[in-house]
Amino acid sequence: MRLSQNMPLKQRLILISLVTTGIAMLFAGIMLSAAEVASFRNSLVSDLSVKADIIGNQCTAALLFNVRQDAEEILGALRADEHVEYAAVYSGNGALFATYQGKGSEVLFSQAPPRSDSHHFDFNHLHLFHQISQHGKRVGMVSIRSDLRGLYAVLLRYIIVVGIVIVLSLLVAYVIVTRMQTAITDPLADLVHLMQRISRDKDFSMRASVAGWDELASLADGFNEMLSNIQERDQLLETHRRHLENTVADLQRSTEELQEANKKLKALDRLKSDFISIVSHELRTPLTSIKAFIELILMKPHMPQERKIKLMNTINTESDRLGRLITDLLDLSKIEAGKMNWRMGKVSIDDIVRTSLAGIQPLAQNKGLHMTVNVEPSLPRIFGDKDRLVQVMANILSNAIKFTNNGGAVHITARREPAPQPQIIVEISDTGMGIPAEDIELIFDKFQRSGDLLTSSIEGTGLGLSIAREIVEYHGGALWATSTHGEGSTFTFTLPFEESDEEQAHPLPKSSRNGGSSERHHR
Amino acid sequence: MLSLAITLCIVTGTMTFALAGQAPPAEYQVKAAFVYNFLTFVEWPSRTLNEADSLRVCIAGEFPDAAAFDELNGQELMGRKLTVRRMKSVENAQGCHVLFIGSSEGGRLSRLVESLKGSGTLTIGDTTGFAQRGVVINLYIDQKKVRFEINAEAARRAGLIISSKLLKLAGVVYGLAPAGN
Repeated sequence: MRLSQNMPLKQRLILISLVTTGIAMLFAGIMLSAAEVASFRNSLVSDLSVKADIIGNQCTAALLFNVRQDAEEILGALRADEHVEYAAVYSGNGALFATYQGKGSEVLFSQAPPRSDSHHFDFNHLHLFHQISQHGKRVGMVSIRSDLRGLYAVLLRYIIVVGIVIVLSLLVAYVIVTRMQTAITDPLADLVHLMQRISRDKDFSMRASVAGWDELASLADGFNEMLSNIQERDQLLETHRRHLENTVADLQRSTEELQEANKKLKALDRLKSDFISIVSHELRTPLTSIKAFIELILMKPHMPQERKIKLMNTINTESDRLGRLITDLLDLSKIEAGKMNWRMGKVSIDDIVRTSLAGIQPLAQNKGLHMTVNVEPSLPRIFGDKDRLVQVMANILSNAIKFTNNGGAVHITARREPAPQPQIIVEISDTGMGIPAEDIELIFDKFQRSGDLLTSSIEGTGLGLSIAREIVEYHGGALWATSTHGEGSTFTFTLPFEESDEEQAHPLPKSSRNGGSSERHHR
Repeated sequence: MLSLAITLCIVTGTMTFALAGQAPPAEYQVKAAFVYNFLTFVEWPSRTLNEADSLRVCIAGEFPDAAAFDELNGQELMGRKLTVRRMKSVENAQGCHVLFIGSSEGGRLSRLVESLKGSGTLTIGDTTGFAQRGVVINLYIDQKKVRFEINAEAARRAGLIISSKLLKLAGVVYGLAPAGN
């Protein structure tokens, strides 16, 4: 028998039990019925044999003395047995001597009897032949034919009983199996449920409950062990994964750093070549005009004197410009290479402002600019190179004057800011044309001027603000610009100082300022 | 008489000793067969018939065909041999187990019956009235068939036990006293 693949285990168990029980009971029933039928047949034969024997014995005298009537009387006794349909007595030579016919029976015996005791069954009858003998001598034969209604009644009764027994057995088996199969299906159902939960929740810390030592318990044990293994593996994998993640992140970081460095290097390289080409161009411009003017003078030796002097002045100006350019370039490269010869010492901001103003004042007066200075009193001195800081101030101021139209104003303030880091803030504001927002950082680059001024006639090397920023940054400060285009710009730089310097600033007279804390170092 | 012979032919068919190959059985051949068959339904007292004894059959008196009984001589019955003896008269019939009495002996019958009391001798006759006069079995012809009658009282006196089957077949039974007599 094929069990359906889709049938639940519970039904399979029940089906198996019922089929087994049914077949066993059916087999037992058939065997019992067969045994009972065989036994009934035997008893039928022996019963009929006894009757035949009695009749034969009774008939001996009748046969020997040829009294047919007596034999028929004796046979008539068979009337008591309703199953006997027909009986006959044969004489010793096989001739029919007397007969008996039961109720409703019309078939007559005509065949010759066998010579010895025998019986045979046909579908509906038992035929029995029994020898009659008197003192060991054969005197005749009795033949009895009985129907098998008794046998069939017994068989029918047995079939009914077996049927009832099978039905009852199946019912009992069904009830028992339904109760007992839970011993197998429940643990399995628990396991299945657990597996589903684990599949759904991915929680491998759950465990099946193990009861007993049978195969189902082994299954649950094995399942638990598998879960433990999975859990361990998961943890191991997780560890590996984290490790890998870290490694990958490290790798990514180093790659990014490398890329960044590479980018910087490339930019630097490009900057360098740009710088060289710009520098070459900047150097060549004044040189070209110097050479042109000199050639003009040489070509026209008799030009008027005042014109010659004018040309010479121009040559001189251009030479100065060339010299300044070279000086600036040298300064810049020294600072960048770290080879600048700094002369560090205690410096007063007030001093720096005044010194730079002194150099720049005539320019401002030429343009009719209104200069105001507002330096907070008692500012602490800072540790720095005075000449260079003056250069910073001068650069910024000359820019401010340069880019402020006649009649404008330049305003200088210096104040202290104690927090977050104690520092001095210097601001130089002008009412000039201002700088477009996109150029505000560009102006600190080398050879850059603000947008539309690049081609203007305003003189300058284009290196001043770069150098100024380098110097301020060397002193630990910062330099930046803010501007509103068309309204003016404000350049701000900071210079940090230490609180201890402040204490010394007041008691010390101006003359002794170089003797104080020269041991202090910046950076 | 011919029809009688035909009937007898059927009767002898049931007899257990062979008559085959002979002429149709005569009346005395049937009677001899009857005698033989009677022996199987009679029990002799053991004091008169020992285990090893042969069964002595005496034929006494005048018969139309006495030779028919010679057929019985040497026959076997229940492990015994039959010995048939013919005698002129019943005078010295002592020691016979079976005594067939001819009608010629009618005059000596009363004395004979008296002398055989308790002797265990089965007396058989074929003369009308013999049974009433004390012979145990008496043969007669009825409707061309050989029949027999039994004097049960005579059998009892002789110490013989006669099978009920035989009694049942007997045409007439004499001397069957009511129970308790």
